[in-house]
Amino acid sequence: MPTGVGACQPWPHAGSARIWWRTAQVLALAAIAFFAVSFVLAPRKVVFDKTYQLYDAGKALYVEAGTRHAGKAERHVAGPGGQPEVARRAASGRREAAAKSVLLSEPFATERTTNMRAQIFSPSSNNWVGVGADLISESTGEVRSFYLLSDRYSGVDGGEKWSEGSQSRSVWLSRVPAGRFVLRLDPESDSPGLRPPSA
Amino acid sequence: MKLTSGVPRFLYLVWTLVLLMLGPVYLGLSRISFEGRRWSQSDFSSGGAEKTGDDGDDGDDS
Repeated sequence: MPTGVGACQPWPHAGSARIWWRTAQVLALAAIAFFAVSFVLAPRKVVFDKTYQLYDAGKALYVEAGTRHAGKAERHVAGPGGQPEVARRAASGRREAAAKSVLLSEPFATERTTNMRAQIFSPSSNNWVGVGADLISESTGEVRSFYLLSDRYSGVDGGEKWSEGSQSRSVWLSRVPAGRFVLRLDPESDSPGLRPPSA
Repeated sequence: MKLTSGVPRFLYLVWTLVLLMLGPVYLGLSRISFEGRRWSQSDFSSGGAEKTGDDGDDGDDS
């Protein structure tokens, strides 16, 4: 029985290879077309968008940006001026009670089952800010946990600038059902740069 | 923190195309291997160039 490949032997898969290539081409074009259509028609609805500010870096307490507590925290950081000591301590205690290391969002709703992109952005510079998050369904109690890290490092080494990491990161949650959700956030950071000036 | 629902993910398209190309790539490699074996006993390569080196059968080097 002859072994090896003969000089004039044709490739045995010549016929089926053409069918494979043609099928792959058609399916690839169909996939690209499907993605293009879904890219154009995708709702891209922002269901949650909140910014949080570090209230006390030593205790890792955060407040929601733009809220009354955040404003007070900012004024507290800037210096309360001629406020009496007792009143200032009481106000500081209330503000600290409002600031939390674990944040629970207001409920928000999704209208249909779809995927969901979670993004974090932090002005991190040679430090990192991480957020452990739980997406909790109010109706079923199902919890989807994920972690997002914003870390941006840069410098000059041997006369060359370098940078690594990213201030913005995303994760994707697949098939999030329609319903009401709350988001539980547990932020952490190694950033002394985020420490308020008065701390 | 921002949550956006209904966002197409480009990575899924990339993975789909990669999976679709697995069969054709395997067939392409199979054909290259076959052609290499088919031309292995020839004085010429599959591209038409004449082979050089000491593996010829004339044996006049010594």
